[in-house]
Amino acid sequence: MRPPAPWAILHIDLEQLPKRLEAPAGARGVVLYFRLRGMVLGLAHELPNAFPMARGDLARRAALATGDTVALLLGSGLRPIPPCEAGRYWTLSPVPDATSLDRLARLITARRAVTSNLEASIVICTRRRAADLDGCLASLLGEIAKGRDIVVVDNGPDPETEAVTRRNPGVRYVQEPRPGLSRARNAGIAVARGDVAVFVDDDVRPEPGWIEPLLAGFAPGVDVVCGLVLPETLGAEAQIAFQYDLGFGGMGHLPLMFDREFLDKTAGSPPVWDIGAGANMAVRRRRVLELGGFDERVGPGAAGGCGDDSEYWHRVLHAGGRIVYEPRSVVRHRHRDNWTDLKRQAYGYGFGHIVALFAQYGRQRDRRDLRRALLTMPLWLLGRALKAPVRRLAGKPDRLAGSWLRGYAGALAHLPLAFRAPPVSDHSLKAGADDV
Amino acid sequence: MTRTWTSRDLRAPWAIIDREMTQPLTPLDLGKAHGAYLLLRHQGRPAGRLLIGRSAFGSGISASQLAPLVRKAGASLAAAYAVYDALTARSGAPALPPLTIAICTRDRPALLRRTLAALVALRDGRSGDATPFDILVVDNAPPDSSTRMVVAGFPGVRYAMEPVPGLNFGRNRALRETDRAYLGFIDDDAVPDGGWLDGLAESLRNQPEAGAFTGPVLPLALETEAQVRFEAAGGFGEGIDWQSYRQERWDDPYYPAGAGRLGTGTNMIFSTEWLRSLGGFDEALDTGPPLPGGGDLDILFRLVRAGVPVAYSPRQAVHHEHRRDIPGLRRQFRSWGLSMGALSRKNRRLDPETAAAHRRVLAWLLVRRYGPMLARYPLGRAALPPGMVLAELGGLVQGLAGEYDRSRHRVALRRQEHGR
Repeated sequence: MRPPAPWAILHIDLEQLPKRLEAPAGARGVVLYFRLRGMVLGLAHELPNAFPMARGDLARRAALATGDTVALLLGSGLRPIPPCEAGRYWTLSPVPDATSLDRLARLITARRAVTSNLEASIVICTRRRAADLDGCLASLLGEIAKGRDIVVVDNGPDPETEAVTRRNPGVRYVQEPRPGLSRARNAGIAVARGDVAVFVDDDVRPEPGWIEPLLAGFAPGVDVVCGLVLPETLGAEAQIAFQYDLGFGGMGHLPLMFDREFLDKTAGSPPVWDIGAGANMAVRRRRVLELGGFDERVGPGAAGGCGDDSEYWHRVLHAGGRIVYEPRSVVRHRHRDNWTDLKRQAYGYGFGHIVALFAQYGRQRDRRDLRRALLTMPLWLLGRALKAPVRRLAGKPDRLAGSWLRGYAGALAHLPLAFRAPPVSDHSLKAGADDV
Repeated sequence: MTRTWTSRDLRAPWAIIDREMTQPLTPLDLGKAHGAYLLLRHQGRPAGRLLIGRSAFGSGISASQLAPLVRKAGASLAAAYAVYDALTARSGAPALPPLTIAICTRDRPALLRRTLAALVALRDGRSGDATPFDILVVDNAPPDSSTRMVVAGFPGVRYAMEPVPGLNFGRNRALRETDRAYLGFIDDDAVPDGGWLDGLAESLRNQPEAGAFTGPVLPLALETEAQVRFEAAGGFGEGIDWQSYRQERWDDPYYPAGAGRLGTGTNMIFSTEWLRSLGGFDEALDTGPPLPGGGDLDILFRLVRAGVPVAYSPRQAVHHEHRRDIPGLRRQFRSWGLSMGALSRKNRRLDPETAAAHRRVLAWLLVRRYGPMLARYPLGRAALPPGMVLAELGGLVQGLAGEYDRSRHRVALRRQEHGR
């Protein structure tokens, strides 16, 4: 069993391994993120009994956690590679040696020097979370200094959010009173300037240097670039469950390139939801406008708590566009620390995922999406429901099963999306929004 | 997973071939062998094992056929070594601690001679050590003087006699005979890998607080069908892995119960102080028939339960001559079953906190080990005939049915007999 909360997160710079690593006081579990010149190369989970850890043992731990990634990154030259074919880039000639890490470090630095001259607006869609927004804006100040355009789309709207935004001169404030994250995103797209809109959620804190890799990822034909989302803290049981049970822990450390082929490779519905996270995503504005914007029938505020991002990715891939996952771009996400919020989130994920599948089927008529929504997912939920009493007896209750089931039930009301023609273009894109 | 051998290949002999991964891959010629065991190394350190049967590839295997297999079997650890080397580049070579290596033996002079020759060569080849390691042969209840004669032929090797028969009486004798801070054991049917003690020194630097240092047991020869089958079935199951075992493990419901993943008796080196403070080895185990094993698993289990880490390093490898004939192999599996059963009972009583883990391991054995092994045999996909599996299962049942307590009784009599 995994240890109980609280867990501590340590970011370890591979070029400056401490002589002795102590466990943070009170932590029942420790997550080590191993980083080279800012890039996350791997992670390890340790119990407090592994500490204090001598440098050599930490080196062993780091080496086992990062070896494959180092080899693959050198083999691919840090360029995005197709998912599932990573093994091809593992070169035996030359086999990695003691110089590999140094070569990779130089490669990361060299790649950082390659900047894009795309013009970008940073768009934060928010709804009644002024305190979160305040923190997010504070962590963006460095980027502000670089003179980038920042837009806050208030989907509440409420005076507190407005006040927080106005405290930061140069940040534009836009209202989108019709609820829905897709609508807010479309409103952001409408008022953004330049080629690219970079979306960050109000509950993330971008790390320094987060935006450049996103922009540099826009090679010709690339329409979306997603980045890595790390947990900010894992201090509460609900935060651990969010990271490990709601699927946030699965974000990888290799730059990936998704294209049309990705859609055809799987027997089931192509797992577009695994590409990245809308909490750290940059999109080419022109393409969003061409494709009719984010689907306003999908996503938080409209139907469920996710899917606004992945449904758009699905459309991009179908239209022949490409999507890059670039883990050199890192934000830290503040996971909800109480079960009420987590259950709501699980409910929203169960709900939104199915609705997105309906919308995908409505547009592309790919039966695999419908099969997942009406067969695979119900069977999985059934299995989970049947296992729930057993798990309760075993003292490991499945606290989220009910939320998933309710989310699914809620989604069924949106089945008509699958059989109704999609809207030609969305309202907010044409109308724009009030630039206050 | 692609299977690189079939049941048709499980015949003797197989070739054992060392391949250095940093060298360009060359084609493999099996010659008359039915298969090859490739030990993949990265700058001398074991990085993976690869079994290649003749029926899957024919007698000649090209470098391009080999490459993906080598990658799958050894690339991860090779890459980890590479990163590790970079991270520890400035640490310098770790030093060998004051060390005694003990061989507990009984009436196997020819085997002993081979092991001693390898150990003496290892000792004399190590020029950088402040004090050369001490070699001690413990002669357990000898029927004649042949073991003593063999030892006399090797300068600088000490001899001690333990009159009470039983491997753990021998091991505890070694514990009394040493004045060094570390005490290692290797069996008389094994020889150390060239990097054996470099592996120890490195683990000790990385984890000075560890109480035991263990590593893989690789095949010395695959000259008989029994040896080929044993290795194809997984060999000594710990494998080429790089681990640190502590009191608890992350997300592991079986730990620390279970079949000897912490290490094996033929390759274990202890902090003498910790060994003494735990009271040495349990003399009711490893008594020879009817309870011929278990002492190694027991001491490693007790160490981690006392909160002392066990460092398992792939560099600290030995090469072991597996049982040559099928009856011997059957006895080996029976002995494993007996040890697991006996230890399961012992620990559920003496260390009730681990009772649940022991129960889970038993369930795992029945459902995930014996079940599939028996079911796969008719499909031609199992390396072990059902007789082996049933031997282990039978041993397990006997072990659970009170063999440990009976053994304690027998050993008490044995002690009395020898006036202890």
